[in-house]
Amino acid sequence: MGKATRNADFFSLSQQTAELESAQERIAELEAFNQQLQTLVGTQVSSHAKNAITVPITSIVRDPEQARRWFDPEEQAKLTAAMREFGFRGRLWVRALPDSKYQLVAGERRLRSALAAEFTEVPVEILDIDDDLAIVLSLLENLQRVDLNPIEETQGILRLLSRRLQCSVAEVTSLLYRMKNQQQRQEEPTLEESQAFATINQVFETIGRISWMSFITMRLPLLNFPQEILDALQQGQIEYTKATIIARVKDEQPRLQLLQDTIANNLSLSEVKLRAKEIKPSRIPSLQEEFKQVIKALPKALKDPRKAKAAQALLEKLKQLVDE
Amino acid sequence: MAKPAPIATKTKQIVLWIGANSGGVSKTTLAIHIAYEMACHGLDVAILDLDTNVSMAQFSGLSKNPPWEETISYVLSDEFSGNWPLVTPSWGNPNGKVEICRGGPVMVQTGLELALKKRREYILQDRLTDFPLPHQLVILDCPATLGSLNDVALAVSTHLLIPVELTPKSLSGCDALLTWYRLSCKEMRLNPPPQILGVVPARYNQEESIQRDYLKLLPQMLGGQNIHCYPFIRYSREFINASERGIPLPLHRKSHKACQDFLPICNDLIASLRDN
Ligand SMILES: Nc1ncnc2c1ncn2[C@@H]1O[C@H](COP(=O)(O)OP(=O)(O)OP(=O)(O)O)[C@@H](O)[C@H]1O
Ligand SMILES: [Mg+2]
Repeated sequence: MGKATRNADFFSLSQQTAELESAQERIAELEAFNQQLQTLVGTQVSSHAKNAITVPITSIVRDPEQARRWFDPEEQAKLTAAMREFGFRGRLWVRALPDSKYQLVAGERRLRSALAAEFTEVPVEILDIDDDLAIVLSLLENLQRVDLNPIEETQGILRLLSRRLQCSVAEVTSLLYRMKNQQQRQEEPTLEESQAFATINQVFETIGRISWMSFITMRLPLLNFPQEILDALQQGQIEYTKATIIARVKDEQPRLQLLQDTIANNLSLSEVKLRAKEIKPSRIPSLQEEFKQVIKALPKALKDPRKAKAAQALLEKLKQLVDE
Repeated sequence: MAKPAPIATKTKQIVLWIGANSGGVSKTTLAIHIAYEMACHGLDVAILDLDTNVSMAQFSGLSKNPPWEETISYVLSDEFSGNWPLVTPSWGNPNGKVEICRGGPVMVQTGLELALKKRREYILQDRLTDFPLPHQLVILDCPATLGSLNDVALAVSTHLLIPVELTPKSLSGCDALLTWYRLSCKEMRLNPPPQILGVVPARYNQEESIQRDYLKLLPQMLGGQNIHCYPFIRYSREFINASERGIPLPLHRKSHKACQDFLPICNDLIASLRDN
């Protein structure tokens, strides 16, 4: 019997079980999203088996606004390798656009790996949803990521709030601070405000990972990071842990330098820490501090008779100065 | 239900279940050789023999007829009070130590009696929680049939290694085992379920064309389920000779090529232990 005729179909039973399992996981995932959506917007996403098809990878478009940002490159590479070896698992969630195009709703990470692995086709599940729902779903999915850093999470929640409250992110921020102040001062909100506050409450309850109060006190300040660091994070050039260290460097010039070096040489976290520590504040020391330093070094210098003599002369002068 | 971690162990412990749904595919041989290799690397290993046959005692040079109190049957009984009956075979101290808790024919009765216990599938897990073993690696050698003793092993294991022979019978058996594994993990609500370390082609004889062909096809057959395929363990009569002497192959024929065949598995185990 030649190789070609060998039966290699020994694992169909367990393969089926595994596929069933992953289908069930997908359904559970969709159900979880549905529950969130139900509380958020009062709609459900429906998906039918007939909507599960395979489409050319080039027909999938991504909303740049919504595209996930930082992806752990190592994790991404692992996923790509797994895809090369075993193929694409699961389905991307898309919604139909005109001209046989599809907008990605969920699955950015897998799509990236599929592109890297040079797949020409990917399995998708077409969801029947409108613009608004697509964005909310995509934001929710983005918030499920394991490698989401606190800044991205903060930005994602703000965007979700701005979508739900129909106002800009800046307006959301000021609303949040108002909410906090009113709670602390026990003031009565206006009708409009109390409606907005109810929505905010609901969003935080749905996301269920942070209270609105700690979001305001712990998370919003993160957005005050220097702009260049926020940019680098956004473009996925640097990890969050390194960014927090660099952000602590007060002086702009060395901070920019450190940021550049970190990106260019892919410095490790401990190297970044070390460099940040070495950066001394470029403040001019006070006269008093300079005196202290000189005096600290003096005993050694006095051992030299020539220097001791000169010091003696200077000391007399100083004494005179103090007595004046 | 989360598996409670053993309390007394400072470092991570791997509980490796070597399972197969067909007899004579090298489970016991793998258990002994992995244990020996890991001990050479300075790790302490306990082998718990849940099988009803006496291969483990035979292959490790221990008495095949221990008193009941010196078997795993006693450990799983209500009389057990925490004193694990572990014995060290003559070869069990290369660097770290290998200790064995024997099973054998007494396990037939134990298997039957399990049905009457309240937490039957979790009985070994409960023992290891209440009376933790200090070994970094615990290997479970199990019967070839997927009965209650394998439920017990599945419930307590962190990793699963599956030897197969490259024959239609053994491969089909492996399929059934994997199906059983998936369904049982769900039914027993194992969270996290034991991780499949991989499938390892054992007793590989490259003289046989069917085995050569299956060896090439195996990674692909398993790929759909994301299961790793290890390099083969070659067939050699010397394994049988070593087992007759009750010692692992490296002590029987030091420079035999097959001694190297266990390294990829051991390296993964060591890496996984280091991760912690
Ligand atoms: N690589 C090998 N080359 C040659 N013989 C081997 C090899 N591995 C195991 N054997 C022999 O094959 C027989 C079965 O091996 P072993 O007992 O380890 O398998 P098992 O799966 O534990 O069997 P059982 O289901 O009976 O418990 C033994 O005689 C053993 O010595
Ligand atoms: Mg055996």
